[in-house]
Amino acid sequence: MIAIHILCQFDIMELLGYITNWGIIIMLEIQEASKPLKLYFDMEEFNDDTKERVKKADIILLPNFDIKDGVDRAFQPDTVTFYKYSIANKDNYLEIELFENKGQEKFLALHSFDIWIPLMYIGSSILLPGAINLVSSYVYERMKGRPNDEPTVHFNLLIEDKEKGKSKHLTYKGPIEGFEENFKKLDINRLWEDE
Amino acid sequence: MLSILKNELMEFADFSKLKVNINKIYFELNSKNYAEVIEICDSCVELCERIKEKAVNITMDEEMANSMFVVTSYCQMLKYYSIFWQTLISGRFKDSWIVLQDTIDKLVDVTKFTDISSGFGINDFNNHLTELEKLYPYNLFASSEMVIRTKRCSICNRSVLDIDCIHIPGNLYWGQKAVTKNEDIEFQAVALVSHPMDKRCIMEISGDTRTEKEKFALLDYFVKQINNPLQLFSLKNEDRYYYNEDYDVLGRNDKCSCGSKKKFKKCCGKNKYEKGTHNKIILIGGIKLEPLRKIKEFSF
Repeated sequence: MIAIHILCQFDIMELLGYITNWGIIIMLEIQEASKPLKLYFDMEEFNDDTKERVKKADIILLPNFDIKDGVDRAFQPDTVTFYKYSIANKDNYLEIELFENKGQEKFLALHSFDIWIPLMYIGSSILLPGAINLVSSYVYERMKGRPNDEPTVHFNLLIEDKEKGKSKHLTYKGPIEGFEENFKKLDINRLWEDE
Repeated sequence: MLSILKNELMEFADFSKLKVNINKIYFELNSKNYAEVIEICDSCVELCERIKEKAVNITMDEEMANSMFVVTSYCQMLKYYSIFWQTLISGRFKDSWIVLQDTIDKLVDVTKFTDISSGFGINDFNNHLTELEKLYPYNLFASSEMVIRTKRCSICNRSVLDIDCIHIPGNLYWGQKAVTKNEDIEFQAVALVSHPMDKRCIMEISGDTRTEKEKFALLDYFVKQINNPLQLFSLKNEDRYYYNEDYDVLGRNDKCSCGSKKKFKKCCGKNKYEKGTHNKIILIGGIKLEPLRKIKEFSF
Protein backbone atom coordinates (compact mmCIF):
# COMPACT_ATOMS: atom_id res chain seq x y z
CA MET A 1 0.00 0.00 0.00
CA ILE A 2 2.71 2.45 1.04
CA ALA A 3 5.02 1.47 -1.77
CA ILE A 4 2.24 1.74 -4.34
CA HIS A 5 1.42 5.24 -3.28
CA ILE A 6 5.01 6.36 -3.32
CA LEU A 7 5.64 4.70 -6.66
CA CYS A 8 2.82 6.74 -8.12
CA GLN A 9 4.91 9.80 -7.47
CA PHE A 10 8.53 8.67 -7.67
CA ASP A 11 10.52 6.01 -9.42
CA ILE A 12 11.98 2.94 -7.75
CA MET A 13 15.48 4.41 -7.32
CA GLU A 14 14.06 7.31 -5.38
CA LEU A 15 12.09 4.92 -3.22
CA LEU A 16 15.27 3.06 -2.25
CA GLY A 17 16.74 6.36 -1.15
CA TYR A 18 14.05 6.68 1.44
CA ILE A 19 15.24 3.83 3.59
CA THR A 20 16.46 5.60 6.68
CA ASN A 21 18.97 4.76 9.37
CA TRP A 22 16.14 3.19 11.35
CA GLY A 23 15.40 0.81 8.53
CA ILE A 24 11.93 2.16 7.82
CA ILE A 25 10.64 3.69 4.64
CA ILE A 26 9.63 7.30 4.89
CA MET A 27 5.93 7.45 4.32
CA LEU A 28 4.22 9.92 2.10
CA GLU A 29 0.89 8.49 1.21
CA ILE A 30 -1.57 10.11 -1.15
CA GLN A 31 -5.20 9.11 -1.24
CA GLU A 32 -8.37 10.33 -2.83
CA ALA A 33 -10.61 12.38 -0.57
CA SER A 34 -14.18 13.46 -1.03
CA LYS A 35 -14.88 17.17 -0.38
CA PRO A 36 -13.36 16.99 3.07
CA LEU A 37 -14.25 20.49 4.24
CA LYS A 38 -17.90 20.11 3.21
CA LEU A 39 -18.15 17.24 5.69
CA TYR A 40 -17.18 19.63 8.47
CA PHE A 41 -19.48 22.38 7.20
CA ASP A 42 -22.39 19.94 7.15
CA MET A 43 -21.92 19.03 10.79
CA GLU A 44 -24.36 20.52 13.26
CA GLU A 45 -21.73 20.41 16.01
CA PHE A 46 -20.13 23.53 14.57
CA ASN A 47 -22.05 26.79 14.89
CA ASP A 48 -22.52 29.44 12.20
CA ASP A 49 -19.90 31.75 13.72
CA THR A 50 -17.28 29.04 13.38
CA LYS A 51 -18.26 28.26 9.80
CA GLU A 52 -18.23 31.93 8.85
CA ARG A 53 -14.85 32.55 10.52
CA VAL A 54 -13.01 29.73 8.77
CA LYS A 55 -14.28 30.71 5.32
CA LYS A 56 -11.74 33.55 5.17
CA ALA A 57 -8.76 31.38 6.19
CA ASP A 58 -6.06 30.04 3.86
CA ILE A 59 -5.20 27.21 6.20
CA ILE A 60 -7.82 25.55 8.39
CA LEU A 61 -6.79 23.31 11.27
CA LEU A 62 -9.35 20.58 11.80
CA PRO A 63 -10.12 18.45 14.83
CA ASN A 64 -9.93 14.69 14.46
CA PHE A 65 -13.09 12.69 15.08
CA ASP A 66 -13.69 9.39 16.86
CA ILE A 67 -10.22 9.14 18.25
CA LYS A 68 -11.04 8.16 21.80
CA ASP A 69 -13.96 6.66 23.66
CA GLY A 70 -16.07 9.41 25.16
CA VAL A 71 -14.34 12.17 23.21
CA ASP A 72 -16.10 13.11 19.99
CA ARG A 73 -13.39 15.33 18.56
CA ALA A 74 -10.04 16.82 19.55
CA PHE A 75 -7.06 18.53 18.00
CA GLN A 76 -3.63 16.93 17.69
CA PRO A 77 -1.07 17.64 20.46
CA ASP A 78 0.99 20.28 18.62
CA THR A 79 -2.04 22.33 17.56
CA VAL A 80 -1.77 25.24 20.01
CA THR A 81 1.95 25.83 19.53
CA PHE A 82 1.70 25.41 15.78
CA TYR A 83 -1.27 27.76 15.55
CA LYS A 84 0.40 30.46 17.64
CA TYR A 85 3.70 30.01 15.81
CA SER A 86 1.86 30.47 12.50
CA ILE A 87 0.14 33.64 13.66
CA ALA A 88 3.41 35.08 15.01
CA ASN A 89 5.15 34.39 11.69
CA LYS A 90 2.84 36.58 9.65
CA ASP A 91 5.46 36.91 6.92
CA ASN A 92 4.02 33.76 5.42
CA TYR A 93 0.86 35.75 4.54
CA LEU A 94 -1.30 32.76 5.29
CA GLU A 95 -4.40 33.26 7.41
CA ILE A 96 -4.91 30.34 9.72
CA GLU A 97 -7.99 29.32 11.74
CA LEU A 98 -9.14 26.49 13.97
CA PHE A 99 -12.35 24.78 12.85
CA GLU A 100 -13.94 24.71 16.27
CA ASN A 101 -16.50 26.66 18.25
CA LYS A 102 -14.84 29.21 20.52
CA GLY A 103 -14.37 27.78 23.99
CA GLN A 104 -15.05 24.19 22.95
CA GLU A 105 -11.53 23.31 21.82
CA LYS A 106 -10.13 20.04 23.12
CA PHE A 107 -6.58 18.83 22.66
CA LEU A 108 -4.95 15.45 22.74
CA ALA A 109 -1.85 14.85 24.82
CA LEU A 110 -0.27 11.73 23.43
CA HIS A 111 2.34 9.56 25.02
CA SER A 112 5.31 9.91 22.73
CA PHE A 113 7.72 12.73 22.07
CA ASP A 114 6.71 12.73 18.40
CA ILE A 115 5.58 15.81 16.52
CA TRP A 116 1.84 15.74 15.89
CA ILE A 117 0.91 18.48 13.44
CA PRO A 118 -2.83 19.27 13.39
CA LEU A 119 -4.98 17.94 10.57
CA MET A 120 -4.72 20.70 7.98
CA TYR A 121 -6.95 21.77 5.10
CA ILE A 122 -6.00 24.03 2.19
CA GLY A 123 -8.44 24.98 -0.54
CA SER A 124 -5.93 25.28 -3.37
CA SER A 125 -2.71 23.60 -4.42
CA ILE A 126 -1.15 27.07 -4.81
CA LEU A 127 -1.08 27.18 -1.01
CA LEU A 128 0.78 23.88 -0.73
CA PRO A 129 4.38 25.22 -0.82
CA GLY A 130 3.53 27.87 1.78
CA ALA A 131 1.84 25.33 4.05
CA ILE A 132 4.77 22.89 3.77
CA ASN A 133 7.28 25.68 4.49
CA LEU A 134 5.28 26.64 7.54
CA VAL A 135 5.25 23.08 8.88
CA SER A 136 8.96 22.64 8.10
CA SER A 137 9.96 25.80 9.92
CA TYR A 138 7.73 24.86 12.85
CA VAL A 139 9.37 21.43 13.09
CA TYR A 140 12.81 23.06 12.96
CA GLU A 141 11.80 25.43 15.76
CA ARG A 142 10.31 22.61 17.80
CA MET A 143 13.53 20.63 17.63
CA LYS A 144 15.75 23.46 18.83
CA GLY A 145 17.48 22.36 22.01
CA ARG A 146 17.22 18.66 21.16
CA PRO A 147 19.99 17.98 18.63
CA ASN A 148 20.13 14.25 19.38
CA ASP A 149 16.40 13.50 19.40
CA GLU A 150 14.83 11.70 16.47
CA PRO A 151 11.06 12.05 16.72
CA THR A 152 8.59 10.98 14.07
CA VAL A 153 6.58 13.70 12.32
CA HIS A 154 2.88 12.94 11.92
CA PHE A 155 1.18 15.16 9.37
CA ASN A 156 -2.14 14.91 7.55
CA LEU A 157 -3.06 17.40 4.87
CA LEU A 158 -6.35 17.70 3.00
CA ILE A 159 -6.03 19.60 -0.24
CA GLU A 160 -8.89 20.54 -2.53
CA ASP A 161 -8.98 21.81 -6.09
CA LYS A 162 -12.39 23.38 -6.31
CA GLU A 163 -12.18 24.01 -10.07
CA LYS A 164 -11.42 20.39 -10.78
CA GLY A 165 -13.77 19.24 -8.03
CA LYS A 166 -11.09 16.94 -6.64
CA SER A 167 -9.54 16.43 -3.22
CA LYS A 168 -6.53 14.56 -1.91
CA HIS A 169 -5.44 13.39 1.50
CA LEU A 170 -1.67 13.50 1.98
CA THR A 171 -0.24 11.64 4.96
CA TYR A 172 3.35 11.90 6.13
CA LYS A 173 4.70 9.78 8.94
CA GLY A 174 8.45 9.66 9.18
CA PRO A 175 11.62 11.29 10.41
CA ILE A 176 12.21 15.04 10.30
CA GLU A 177 14.98 14.92 7.73
CA GLY A 178 12.71 13.39 5.10
CA PHE A 179 9.77 15.73 5.53
CA GLU A 180 10.65 18.70 3.36
CA GLU A 181 12.51 16.53 0.87
CA ASN A 182 9.44 14.37 0.25
CA PHE A 183 7.08 17.26 -0.24
CA LYS A 184 9.54 19.10 -2.49
CA LYS A 185 9.53 16.12 -4.83
CA LEU A 186 5.79 16.22 -5.02
CA ASP A 187 4.71 17.49 -8.44
CA ILE A 188 1.67 19.68 -7.74
CA ASN A 189 0.57 19.57 -11.37
CA ARG A 190 0.66 15.80 -11.45
CA LEU A 191 -1.23 15.60 -8.19
CA TRP A 192 -4.51 16.04 -10.01
CA GLU A 193 -3.78 13.82 -12.98
CA ASP A 194 -6.21 10.96 -13.44
CA GLU A 195 -4.85 7.76 -11.99
CA MET B 1 22.18 33.85 24.71
CA LEU B 2 24.74 32.07 26.85
CA SER B 3 27.35 33.98 24.85
CA ILE B 4 26.51 37.03 26.93
CA LEU B 5 28.97 35.54 29.42
CA LYS B 6 31.75 36.43 26.98
CA ASN B 7 30.94 40.13 27.44
CA GLU B 8 31.64 42.65 30.17
CA LEU B 9 28.53 44.45 31.38
CA MET B 10 29.45 47.35 33.63
CA GLU B 11 25.86 48.40 34.28
CA PHE B 12 25.21 45.11 36.07
CA ALA B 13 27.37 44.97 39.19
CA ASP B 14 26.65 41.27 39.78
CA PHE B 15 27.73 40.23 36.30
CA SER B 16 31.49 40.03 37.00
CA LYS B 17 30.82 38.02 40.13
CA LEU B 18 28.64 35.67 38.11
CA LYS B 19 31.47 35.03 35.67
CA VAL B 20 33.96 34.43 38.48
CA ASN B 21 31.55 31.95 40.05
CA ILE B 22 31.05 30.08 36.78
CA ASN B 23 34.82 29.70 36.52
CA LYS B 24 34.80 28.30 40.04
CA ILE B 25 32.09 25.81 38.98
CA TYR B 26 34.29 24.60 36.12
CA PHE B 27 37.25 24.21 38.46
CA GLU B 28 35.33 22.37 41.18
CA LEU B 29 33.59 20.11 38.67
CA ASN B 30 36.93 19.19 37.17
CA SER B 31 38.16 18.44 40.72
CA LYS B 32 35.04 16.32 41.42
CA ASN B 33 34.07 18.57 44.33
CA TYR B 34 30.37 18.13 43.70
CA ALA B 35 29.11 19.68 46.95
CA GLU B 36 31.03 22.88 46.16
CA VAL B 37 29.66 22.93 42.60
CA ILE B 38 26.11 22.68 43.93
CA GLU B 39 26.69 25.51 46.38
CA ILE B 40 28.25 27.83 43.79
CA CYS B 41 25.51 27.01 41.28
CA ASP B 42 22.88 28.09 43.82
CA SER B 43 24.65 31.39 44.36
CA CYS B 44 24.90 31.88 40.57
CA VAL B 45 21.14 31.39 40.27
CA GLU B 46 20.63 34.10 42.90
CA LEU B 47 22.96 36.45 41.00
CA CYS B 48 21.10 35.75 37.75
CA GLU B 49 17.81 36.56 39.46
CA ARG B 50 19.17 39.90 40.66
CA ILE B 51 20.50 40.79 37.21
CA LYS B 52 17.22 39.75 35.61
CA GLU B 53 15.21 41.82 38.06
CA LYS B 54 17.29 44.88 37.20
CA ALA B 55 16.96 44.17 33.46
CA VAL B 56 13.17 43.89 33.79
CA ASN B 57 12.51 46.78 36.17
CA ILE B 58 15.29 49.30 35.61
CA THR B 59 17.13 48.95 32.30
CA MET B 60 14.05 47.52 30.51
CA ASP B 61 16.28 45.11 28.62
CA GLU B 62 14.29 42.02 27.56
CA GLU B 63 17.26 40.39 25.82
CA MET B 64 19.29 40.62 29.02
CA ALA B 65 16.41 39.18 31.04
CA ASN B 66 16.08 36.29 28.59
CA SER B 67 19.83 35.71 28.64
CA MET B 68 19.67 35.40 32.41
CA PHE B 69 17.00 32.71 32.03
CA VAL B 70 19.46 30.76 29.88
CA VAL B 71 22.44 31.34 32.23
CA THR B 72 20.24 30.23 35.15
CA SER B 73 19.33 27.05 33.26
CA TYR B 74 23.02 26.47 32.50
CA CYS B 75 23.97 26.76 36.19
CA GLN B 76 21.05 24.53 37.18
CA MET B 77 22.16 22.00 34.57
CA LEU B 78 25.66 21.93 36.08
CA LYS B 79 24.12 21.62 39.54
CA TYR B 80 21.94 18.66 38.56
CA TYR B 81 24.89 17.10 36.76
CA SER B 82 26.88 17.26 40.01
CA ILE B 83 23.98 15.76 41.96
CA PHE B 84 23.84 13.07 39.27
CA TRP B 85 27.48 12.14 39.92
CA GLN B 86 26.97 12.21 43.68
CA THR B 87 24.05 9.84 43.25
CA LEU B 88 26.05 7.56 40.95
CA ILE B 89 29.01 7.35 43.29
CA SER B 90 26.76 6.46 46.21
CA GLY B 91 25.43 3.54 44.14
CA ARG B 92 21.85 4.84 43.91
CA PHE B 93 21.61 4.04 40.23
CA LYS B 94 17.82 4.06 39.98
CA ASP B 95 17.64 7.52 41.59
CA SER B 96 20.42 8.76 39.32
CA TRP B 97 18.16 8.20 36.27
CA ILE B 98 15.71 10.82 37.54
CA VAL B 99 18.51 13.31 38.22
CA LEU B 100 19.91 12.64 34.76
CA GLN B 101 16.51 13.57 33.30
CA ASP B 102 16.51 16.78 35.38
CA THR B 103 19.94 17.58 33.94
CA ILE B 104 18.74 16.93 30.40
CA ASP B 105 15.67 19.16 30.87
CA LYS B 106 17.86 22.07 31.92
CA LEU B 107 20.27 21.43 29.06
CA VAL B 108 17.35 21.57 26.61
CA ASP B 109 16.48 25.04 27.95
CA VAL B 110 20.07 26.13 27.36
CA THR B 111 20.54 24.52 23.95
CA LYS B 112 17.26 25.86 22.57
CA PHE B 113 18.51 29.43 22.92
CA THR B 114 22.22 28.92 22.34
CA ASP B 115 24.33 28.20 19.32
CA ILE B 116 25.79 24.80 20.22
CA SER B 117 29.10 25.75 18.63
CA SER B 118 29.47 28.78 20.91
CA GLY B 119 31.37 26.82 23.57
CA PHE B 120 30.51 26.36 27.25
CA GLY B 121 30.59 22.61 26.62
CA ILE B 122 27.03 22.65 25.27
CA ASN B 123 27.67 20.39 22.32
CA ASP B 124 29.76 18.02 24.45
CA PHE B 125 27.14 17.88 27.19
CA ASN B 126 24.39 17.11 24.68
CA ASN B 127 26.32 14.15 23.30
CA HIS B 128 27.52 13.06 26.73
CA LEU B 129 24.10 12.95 28.38
CA THR B 130 22.73 10.99 25.42
CA GLU B 131 25.50 8.40 25.88
CA LEU B 132 24.94 8.29 29.65
CA GLU B 133 21.28 7.40 29.06
CA LYS B 134 22.40 4.37 27.07
CA LEU B 135 24.14 2.92 30.15
CA TYR B 136 20.76 2.32 31.79
CA PRO B 137 18.64 -0.76 31.14
CA TYR B 138 15.61 1.34 30.23
CA ASN B 139 14.07 0.98 26.81
CA LEU B 140 10.36 1.14 27.56
CA PHE B 141 8.51 3.78 29.52
CA ALA B 142 4.95 4.28 30.70
CA SER B 143 3.35 7.38 29.29
CA SER B 144 -0.16 8.75 29.62
CA GLU B 145 -2.67 9.78 26.99
CA MET B 146 -5.00 12.62 27.88
CA VAL B 147 -7.60 14.95 26.49
CA ILE B 148 -7.17 18.51 27.71
CA ARG B 149 -10.09 20.93 27.67
CA THR B 150 -8.42 24.08 29.00
CA LYS B 151 -4.94 25.35 28.28
CA ARG B 152 -3.72 28.50 29.98
CA CYS B 153 -0.63 30.56 29.37
CA SER B 154 1.84 30.55 32.29
CA ILE B 155 2.70 34.20 31.67
CA CYS B 156 -0.62 36.01 31.16
CA ASN B 157 -2.92 33.29 32.57
CA ARG B 158 -5.30 33.76 29.64
CA SER B 159 -6.50 30.88 27.52
CA VAL B 160 -3.71 30.09 25.06
CA LEU B 161 -6.24 30.63 22.26
CA ASP B 162 -7.22 34.08 23.51
CA ILE B 163 -6.29 36.57 20.81
CA ASP B 164 -4.68 38.78 23.47
CA CYS B 165 -2.27 36.04 24.52
CA ILE B 166 0.77 36.59 22.31
CA HIS B 167 2.97 34.06 24.07
CA ILE B 168 4.13 31.00 22.14
CA PRO B 169 4.73 28.01 24.41
CA GLY B 170 8.46 27.38 24.77
CA ASN B 171 9.53 30.92 23.92
CA LEU B 172 11.07 33.45 26.31
CA TYR B 173 9.40 36.67 27.41
CA TRP B 174 11.18 39.01 29.83
CA GLY B 175 13.20 36.19 31.32
CA GLN B 176 10.34 33.72 31.64
CA LYS B 177 9.60 30.68 29.53
CA ALA B 178 6.00 30.48 28.35
CA VAL B 179 4.53 27.11 29.16
CA THR B 180 1.02 25.78 28.90
CA LYS B 181 -0.90 25.07 32.08
CA ASN B 182 -3.32 22.25 31.38
CA GLU B 183 -6.65 22.19 33.23
CA ASP B 184 -9.73 20.00 33.05
CA ILE B 185 -7.77 16.93 32.03
CA GLU B 186 -9.36 13.63 31.11
CA PHE B 187 -6.99 10.68 31.33
CA GLN B 188 -7.48 8.16 28.56
CA ALA B 189 -4.82 5.50 28.81
CA VAL B 190 -1.29 4.63 29.77
CA ALA B 191 0.86 3.30 26.98
CA LEU B 192 4.26 1.66 26.84
CA VAL B 193 6.53 3.63 24.52
CA SER B 194 10.21 3.82 23.72
CA HIS B 195 10.28 7.57 23.07
CA PRO B 196 8.04 9.25 25.67
CA MET B 197 7.51 12.89 26.52
CA ASP B 198 8.96 12.19 29.93
CA LYS B 199 11.35 9.31 30.62
CA ARG B 200 10.90 9.39 34.37
CA CYS B 201 8.14 6.77 34.45
CA ILE B 202 10.25 3.64 34.12
CA MET B 203 9.18 -0.02 34.00
CA GLU B 204 10.39 -2.54 36.56
CA ILE B 205 9.88 -6.28 36.77
CA SER B 206 7.94 -7.18 39.92
CA GLY B 207 9.71 -9.64 42.19
CA ASP B 208 13.10 -8.82 40.74
CA THR B 209 15.44 -9.57 43.65
CA ARG B 210 18.64 -8.45 41.97
CA THR B 211 20.69 -5.76 43.70
CA GLU B 212 21.09 -2.31 42.13
CA LYS B 213 24.60 -3.25 41.06
CA GLU B 214 23.27 -6.31 39.27
CA LYS B 215 20.41 -4.44 37.63
CA PHE B 216 22.67 -1.64 36.50
CA ALA B 217 25.78 -3.72 35.79
CA LEU B 218 26.96 -1.58 32.89
CA LEU B 219 26.51 1.65 34.82
CA ASP B 220 28.30 0.15 37.83
CA TYR B 221 31.20 -0.84 35.59
CA PHE B 222 31.25 2.64 34.06
CA VAL B 223 31.41 4.42 37.44
CA LYS B 224 34.20 2.17 38.68
CA GLN B 225 36.27 2.57 35.55
CA ILE B 226 35.55 6.18 34.61
CA ASN B 227 35.13 8.24 37.72
CA ASN B 228 35.47 11.50 35.82
CA PRO B 229 32.47 13.78 35.15
CA LEU B 230 34.15 15.46 32.19
CA GLN B 231 35.25 12.30 30.39
CA LEU B 232 33.44 11.91 27.08
CA PHE B 233 32.75 8.43 25.79
CA SER B 234 30.79 6.59 23.18
CA LEU B 235 28.91 3.36 23.87
CA LYS B 236 29.01 0.83 21.05
CA ASN B 237 27.08 -2.42 20.99
CA GLU B 238 28.48 -5.31 19.01
CA ASP B 239 27.51 -8.95 18.59
CA ARG B 240 29.83 -11.39 20.22
CA TYR B 241 29.70 -15.16 20.68
CA TYR B 242 29.90 -16.51 24.22
CA TYR B 243 30.80 -20.10 25.15
CA ASN B 244 27.87 -21.81 26.82
CA GLU B 245 29.12 -24.26 29.48
CA ASP B 246 25.67 -25.88 29.74
CA TYR B 247 26.48 -27.82 26.58
CA ASP B 248 29.44 -29.54 28.26
CA VAL B 249 27.18 -32.08 30.02
CA LEU B 250 26.38 -33.80 26.72
CA GLY B 251 28.68 -36.06 24.75
CA ARG B 252 29.10 -35.48 21.03
CA ASN B 253 27.08 -38.57 20.12
CA ASP B 254 24.36 -38.11 22.75
CA LYS B 255 20.87 -37.14 21.68
CA CYS B 256 20.52 -33.43 21.69
CA SER B 257 18.70 -32.01 24.69
CA CYS B 258 16.64 -29.69 22.53
CA GLY B 259 14.35 -32.58 21.56
CA SER B 260 15.28 -32.73 17.90
CA LYS B 261 16.27 -36.48 18.20
CA LYS B 262 19.47 -35.64 16.35
CA LYS B 263 22.93 -36.28 17.75
CA PHE B 264 24.21 -33.39 19.80
CA LYS B 265 27.20 -32.91 17.47
CA LYS B 266 24.84 -32.52 14.51
CA CYS B 267 22.40 -30.24 16.29
CA CYS B 268 23.00 -27.61 18.98
CA GLY B 269 26.54 -28.94 19.59
CA LYS B 270 27.62 -27.71 16.18
CA ASN B 271 28.26 -24.41 17.79
CA LYS B 272 28.73 -24.19 21.52
CA TYR B 273 28.86 -20.45 21.32
CA GLU B 274 25.80 -18.24 21.65
CA LYS B 275 25.34 -14.78 20.29
CA GLY B 276 25.14 -11.98 22.84
CA THR B 277 25.55 -8.22 22.98
CA HIS B 278 28.90 -6.85 23.98
CA ASN B 279 29.04 -3.26 25.18
CA LYS B 280 32.13 -1.30 24.39
CA ILE B 281 32.92 2.03 26.06
CA ILE B 282 35.19 4.09 23.85
CA LEU B 283 36.81 7.13 25.43
CA ILE B 284 36.77 10.15 23.17
CA GLY B 285 38.33 13.09 25.04
CA GLY B 286 36.93 15.45 27.60
CA ILE B 287 34.23 18.12 27.91
CA LYS B 288 35.92 21.43 27.23
CA LEU B 289 34.97 24.13 29.71
CA GLU B 290 37.06 27.14 28.81
CA PRO B 291 37.35 29.61 31.73
CA LEU B 292 35.55 32.91 31.12
CA ARG B 293 37.97 35.77 30.80
CA LYS B 294 37.70 39.48 31.34
CA ILE B 295 37.71 41.55 28.16
CA LYS B 296 40.71 43.58 29.29
CA GLU B 297 42.84 40.44 29.33
CA PHE B 298 42.59 40.42 25.56
CA SER B 299 43.73 44.06 25.14
CA PHE B 300 47.32 44.95 24.22
